[in-house]
Amino acid sequence: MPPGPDWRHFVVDRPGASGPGALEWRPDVCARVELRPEYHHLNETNLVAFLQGQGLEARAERQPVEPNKPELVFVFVAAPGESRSVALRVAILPSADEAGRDLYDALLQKGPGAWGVHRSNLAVLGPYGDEGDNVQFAAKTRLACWGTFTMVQDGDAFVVTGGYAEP
Amino acid sequence: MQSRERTDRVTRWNRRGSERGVAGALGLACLASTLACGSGSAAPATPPPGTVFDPGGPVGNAPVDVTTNQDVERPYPPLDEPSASGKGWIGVSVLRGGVRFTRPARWQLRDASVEPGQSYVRYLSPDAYSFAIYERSDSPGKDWKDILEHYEADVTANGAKAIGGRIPMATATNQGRAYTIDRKIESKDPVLSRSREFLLRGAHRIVLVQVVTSEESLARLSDLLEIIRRIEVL
Repeated sequence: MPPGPDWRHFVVDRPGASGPGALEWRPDVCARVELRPEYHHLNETNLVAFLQGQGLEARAERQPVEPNKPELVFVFVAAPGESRSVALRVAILPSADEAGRDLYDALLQKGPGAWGVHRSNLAVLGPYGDEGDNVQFAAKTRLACWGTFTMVQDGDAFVVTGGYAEP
Repeated sequence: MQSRERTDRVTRWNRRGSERGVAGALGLACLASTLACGSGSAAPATPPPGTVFDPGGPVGNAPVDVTTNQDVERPYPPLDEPSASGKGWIGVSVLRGGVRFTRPARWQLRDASVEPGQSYVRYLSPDAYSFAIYERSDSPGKDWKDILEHYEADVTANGAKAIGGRIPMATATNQGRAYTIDRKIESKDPVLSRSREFLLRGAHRIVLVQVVTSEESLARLSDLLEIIRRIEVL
């Protein structure tokens, strides 16, 4: 992951709260992004189009998977100002519930430093980073406004509020 | 007498609008869910037989008269939003001050209990869904794993099925986990009820928020995300 020294520019702690569960995106992070919940069935082209719409270079590469596993696509994207791209693993699941649950299971299995987003039936797992790296990348690429941003810290998964969410 | 009055209110509700009958099914779903949500613990293997005074069998806590009991819901003006969605939303405090949220003023308070440790409050929305908040018995200091396993055991013990779950989510102030639950409602004409349920962890309590709808998805319930987002569990 690219380093995220400025990550505190993108999040605040809720008043009177602290720790990973207290983080909230600053209002300007998603101010110009449509946050309405997505109910359509998606594939990787939706994510690629979103990233390209943010002015980022993004390309998808399908991965061979075992017959009983969901489709897996690598989406390569570079954060603004970064030359090296980051590989996002995009799993295409049958439903939003499965996307949310499979991402949760994967995050707990991968442990501290793991993070991801999910939107409708898509679950996106990012590469390991520390808290600041992950937060800054998700904010600068606006991934936090495309999917529900979740990260692992202290052995548990936490959602950063104020970005995209589904009921 | 109280029960009959409640039934009359629900019956009147059922006659409104084009969604006739939906609210009735939602009401049945709510009754069925009391075992899962209100008790906060798995049902005993051999529950005592219900008496003629137990409408749904061995349901634990008795509801209070929501028309006269001021403890069920108190105004919480800091969360009032008269202009939200152009419909008028009111801030309220429920579960003996343990939960605050903003709700559409046009919701109907259906029933509630203020019994410590087992309190709940249930509403009906004219948009054909019910909304309830149940206090859970879990300590907020427990690991999520234990809280989720306890809840899932309750769901299974009551014949319901989690078709999706453990999905991390958050309100403005709380971390939570979301579930989709299918319940078969036993009645003269059995109904399959689907609900979206959220376990929310506050500093002092765990609560379950339950939304029951006859819709296949929540797409039409446009207010719901905003309502969930604004819940504050203390």
